[in-house]
Amino acid sequence: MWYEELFYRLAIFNAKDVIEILSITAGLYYFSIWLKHDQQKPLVGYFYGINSLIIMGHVANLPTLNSAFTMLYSPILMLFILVHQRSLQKNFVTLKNIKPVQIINHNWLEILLRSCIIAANNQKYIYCLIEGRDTLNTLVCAPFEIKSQLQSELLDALLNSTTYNQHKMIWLSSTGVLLGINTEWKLTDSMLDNQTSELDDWQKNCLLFTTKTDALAFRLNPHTKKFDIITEGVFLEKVPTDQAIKLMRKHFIKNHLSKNRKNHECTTKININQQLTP
Amino acid sequence: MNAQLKSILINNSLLKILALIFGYVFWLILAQHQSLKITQKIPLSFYNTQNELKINVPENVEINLLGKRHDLQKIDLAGLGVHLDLSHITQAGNYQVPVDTNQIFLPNNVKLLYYTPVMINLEVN
Repeated sequence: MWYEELFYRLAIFNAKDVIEILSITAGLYYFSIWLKHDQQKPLVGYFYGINSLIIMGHVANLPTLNSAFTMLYSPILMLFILVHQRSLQKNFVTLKNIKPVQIINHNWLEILLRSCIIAANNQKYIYCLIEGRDTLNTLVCAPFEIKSQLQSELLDALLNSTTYNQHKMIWLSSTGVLLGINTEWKLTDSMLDNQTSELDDWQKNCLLFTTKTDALAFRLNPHTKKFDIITEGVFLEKVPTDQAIKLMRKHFIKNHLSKNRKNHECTTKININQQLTP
Repeated sequence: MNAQLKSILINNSLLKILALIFGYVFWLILAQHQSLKITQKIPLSFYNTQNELKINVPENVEINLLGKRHDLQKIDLAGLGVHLDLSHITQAGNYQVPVDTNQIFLPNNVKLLYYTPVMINLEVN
């Protein structure tokens, strides 16, 4: 058979060899796909360039270069991961994920939406920003920092106060803490984009920041009484209240589940380490 | 289903091909010094035969070889065979001829572990 001859010529003698080759290929492919997502640097080209150098060193039988590449291959891979745009953004833009343990008021979402609907009935626009596990401290600017558990009386009083600007955002955490009002995104010149002119500033900014963080933003239109929701870089327009509640609950439950899973993994690792330590 | 399969194969095809080539070359670099066993069927061939005799024999002998991957790869399988001297067979009849390791020509760095059958039954007409 022709393929038997081909496999023999390629030094592939059994199915195990094929599995090994496919595993290495899959590893290289998925790593290069990930590198391809970096829009700023041609990391895929660099990656295959270095791989070509390694192969050339081997073919040309250059022992020193071979040893150097063998030793340095892991650090080179680490370097690729470090200089990848996403890693840089995680490290320098979305900042830390560490937050102190907080008591969650489970009804905070209902309290918030109730107050929002009352305010909308009074012909007020409501813009709201709810942060997830990624803290937004350095990404937003709030002249009125509150940091209090959300209570319906407090929120009603704030929404009716003269200092409240209905075109700025109410900033909350996913644990039901009211962090501030009259909140705005902190924008740098490089973030200003004029390409999507059909979107207003709020939409553009929220689309940008929710892509990079796990925050959720919504706007309640007093005329339609419908919600415009932005999460994970997706804009959902004119969502009815019941659907909005479901969507937000689903979003925050998903976030909490992933957080709990991470905590559980961390605890398990600590327990295993404790068991291993004599 | 076909369209889905097609899109899976076509999407990022250049990266897939590159990954396959580099994956294979890396594997070859890492695996070329590994010792491994392979099984091959090689043909029987005869010399010093009497022209008027017809010989019925099994076509192949199964051999098991041990060697490094790059040594095994260098063997010319098409040229490999068991070479039997039949000068002593001059009449029709049934014969049993033993296969000897010397009758299989292999490079020095490849070992012949075993082979079957050990005795070849020849039916000479």
